[in-house]
Amino acid sequence: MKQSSGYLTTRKYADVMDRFIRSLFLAQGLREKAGEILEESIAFMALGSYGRREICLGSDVDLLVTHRGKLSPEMSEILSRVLHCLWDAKLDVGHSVLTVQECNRLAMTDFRFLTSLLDARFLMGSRSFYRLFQAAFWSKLEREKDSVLKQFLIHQEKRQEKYSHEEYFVEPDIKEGLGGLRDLHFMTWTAKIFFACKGLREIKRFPVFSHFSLDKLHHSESFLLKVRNHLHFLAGGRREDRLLLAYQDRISESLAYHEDVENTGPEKFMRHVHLHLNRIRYGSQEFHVKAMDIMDPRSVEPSPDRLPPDFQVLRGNIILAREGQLSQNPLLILRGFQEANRRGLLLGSGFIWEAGKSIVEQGKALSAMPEARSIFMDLLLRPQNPKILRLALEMGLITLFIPEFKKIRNLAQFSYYHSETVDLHALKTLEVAQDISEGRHNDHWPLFQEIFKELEHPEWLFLVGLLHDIGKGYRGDHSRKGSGLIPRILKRLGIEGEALKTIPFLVRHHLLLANTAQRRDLNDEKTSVQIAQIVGDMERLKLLFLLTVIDSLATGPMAGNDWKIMLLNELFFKARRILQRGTLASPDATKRVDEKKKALQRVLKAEFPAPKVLHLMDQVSTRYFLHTPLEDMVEHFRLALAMGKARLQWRLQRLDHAPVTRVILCTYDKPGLFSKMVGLFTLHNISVLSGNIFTLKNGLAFDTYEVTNPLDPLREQEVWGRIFEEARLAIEDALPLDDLIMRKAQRSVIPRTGYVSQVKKVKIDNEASDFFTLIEMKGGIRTGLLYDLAKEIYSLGLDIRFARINSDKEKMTGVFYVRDGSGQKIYDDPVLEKTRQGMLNVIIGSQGDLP
Amino acid sequence: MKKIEAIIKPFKLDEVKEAILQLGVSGMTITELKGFGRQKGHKEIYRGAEYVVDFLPKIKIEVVVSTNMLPRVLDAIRTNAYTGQIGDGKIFVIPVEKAVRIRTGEEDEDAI
Repeated sequence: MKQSSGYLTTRKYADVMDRFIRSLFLAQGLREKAGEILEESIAFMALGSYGRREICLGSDVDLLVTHRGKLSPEMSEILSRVLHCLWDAKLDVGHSVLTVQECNRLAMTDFRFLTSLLDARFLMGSRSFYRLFQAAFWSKLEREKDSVLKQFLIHQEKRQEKYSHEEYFVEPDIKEGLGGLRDLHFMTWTAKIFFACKGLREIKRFPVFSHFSLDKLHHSESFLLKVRNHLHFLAGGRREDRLLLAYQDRISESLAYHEDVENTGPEKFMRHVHLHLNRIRYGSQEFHVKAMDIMDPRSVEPSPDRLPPDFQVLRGNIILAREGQLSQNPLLILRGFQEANRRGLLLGSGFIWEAGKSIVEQGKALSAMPEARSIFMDLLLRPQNPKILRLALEMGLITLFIPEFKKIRNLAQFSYYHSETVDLHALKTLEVAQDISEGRHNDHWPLFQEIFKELEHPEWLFLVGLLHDIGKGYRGDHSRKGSGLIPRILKRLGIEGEALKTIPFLVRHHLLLANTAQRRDLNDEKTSVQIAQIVGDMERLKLLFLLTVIDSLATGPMAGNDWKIMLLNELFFKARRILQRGTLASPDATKRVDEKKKALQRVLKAEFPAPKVLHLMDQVSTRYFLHTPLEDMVEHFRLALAMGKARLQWRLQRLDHAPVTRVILCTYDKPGLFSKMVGLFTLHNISVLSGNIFTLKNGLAFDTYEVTNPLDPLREQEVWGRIFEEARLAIEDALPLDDLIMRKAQRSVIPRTGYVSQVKKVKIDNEASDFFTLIEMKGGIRTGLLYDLAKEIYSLGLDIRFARINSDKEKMTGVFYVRDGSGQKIYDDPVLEKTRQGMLNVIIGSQGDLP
Repeated sequence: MKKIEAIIKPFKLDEVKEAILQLGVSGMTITELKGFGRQKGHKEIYRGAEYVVDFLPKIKIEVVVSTNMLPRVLDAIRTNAYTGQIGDGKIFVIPVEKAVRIRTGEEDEDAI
């Protein structure tokens, strides 16, 4: 079974079946001279695949017994005994016993019966009765041609819809699936019914089909039959037509597909399977286009304007004005494709046949012509007619200019998401890109076209769509591999400059956005910052975003659904904002942050295990690394890593050259923490000159304050000790801080400087970040200003995540990054206004609440 | 037997899945869906055009467990789906009357 062609095997099996059935009948008492046969009133026929002599191991055996009107009791008895024998032999037998009229009636109402009759074959009985039956059947068909055609179209559509789903590409149904044996059956039936052919081969009589590559199709059919036999065999004689993964392994082995350096056995086998399936699929499409033209012809079109004189248009196809042109002028091949692409037409079969030959014979010379290259590029970058691109692929035109494409030809993808082979998927992304550029996705996602229109180099999107999976024919990470191949490919296509850097980058990272959007917390600023740092600028972000979109949509409904695109959009918007704001993700900032991180690790290496340090670094925002001096970072980390069960730790640095103490603090963040710390300082007559507050993902806070020294230099240590103890109580809410401050204010002999400040400014920036609302303030210095501000923020129900405060002799400036009670930035306009007003009131200072 | 329906943030799927599997729960159903609770959507503006995001992408995990496993599974889901930010999601528990494994006909506890 391994060596022979699929045809031979099925034919042999059919012959065996014929002999078997005939012998059964004879054994049960049917004699060739029996009365009913002599009276020309009975015929036994094989239907369907048995009729075609294409049965596989697990196929049905369909029998039809036609008679004149009544079966004699003896004949009925013989028939039933034969059937029993067949069933005992474990064959799947279907049978009908009908008169000719009953047959015709049934054929018109039952589509499957109709098609099985189309392949009827005489087995035994009266030949003349059989001929009568055929004559009646076919004349009935002739009268009902139109309704039959309608049914054909409906069934093909249903099949197309059912088998377009992704699972049928990974595990194809080689009978009913797209490009399966059924396609050939439909072609044969069409030829028989509408073209009066006895078999598909006769279609070549018609000039339109004279160049139709029937031999190749039959070769593919034979291959599929061979595979189908193996399938049935492995399935234990059952009719299993789906190439399930388990079977793929075993069949590839028994058909001797061996593993080599680049592909496994099953991968090679499936490439062949897909090659044949695709060939049948597109051959069948071509067949039906031509057939429909004849059955339902369009009128001859006048030559569209500006069509080069070498071409004409016939029935919607571009053809050559004169035959035999292409060997002298192979450039016409590309021009033909170009015209068909631009005008939304197809290519005539004569042209295709000549072009195919020419590509094989003169391909190398053609690919070296710069003009050929530029027309080819035009095809790729303006893919108005997707069928033309696919044709270019089938005919080897794409691999001519991009030999690297050979590696992904017919390569199936063993994944849950992908429904096309890699090469077709690449072409599909071009289709999607074209759709987006023409606004065909605007009902759903108008954003895509908006972004497309802004691209400086929209052609790069098409190039990268075509090439993004080019690394898939190799082992290893296909993004990396593909990225390495790109410069060579681009140079060969005559592309230089910035593209040589950007396109490899895009290929390298074409999965970045999708992976990040689905697997990382988009609510965490760091996620967007990291994306922004990798992508680097807006143009690249837009290209990468659109690439991700077209890749997802072209992959299939699992990858390109609304849900996934929503996540992608969110990431795009957030990364965009980070890039536009410039501070966190600029190349400069990125470099500084990197250097600081490395330095931090170096210093701490001796004291703490590296994994702990790295884990803590992960909890900290980029902002912290950007704005905090290395020495402070070291202190914070030391405090945090050695904290143990303590809730608060700090280190004090008394400066020599100024009356300032630096407080470097690490504690567990709580709402109102900042106001508590500031409140404590105020309580002890210590002014906060500057402060930097950073909250970590794990709930810790890293604060750095520069404060004035305690009033009494002799008791400094004591004061700090007391503040520390009180801080520990305060963070547990065990200290009545407000009361204490109130009483202090009341007791104070020295009047509070309550004046209406000249310097006042509060700005709420809700555009700077997706994650925080920024409150920027400037106000005249007074005692307790910071405390009041902090309290106001706290009383508004806001949570300070970061803050940077500075002051000089006259004024204090600060930026507070806040979130509302639910952990998001403030979206509610009234709340924003209330916040602004509240802060302003604090800065202006009210004289009302002083004693 | 109880059915747990948990709505969680998309990026938490792997963690929650692993945690549930480690408890010995053998199967689950995942759905991609959109929704909101108290976490409201918002507007994005791009070149003057508004893009309203009102439903947020979430993942629903459905799993049926025996009653004595319930507390552990609930805890595993909650711990692993937690971020502390709004939008972490919700878990619902529904009583299950009967379960049948189609292939073998096993019922109730043997079927889950």
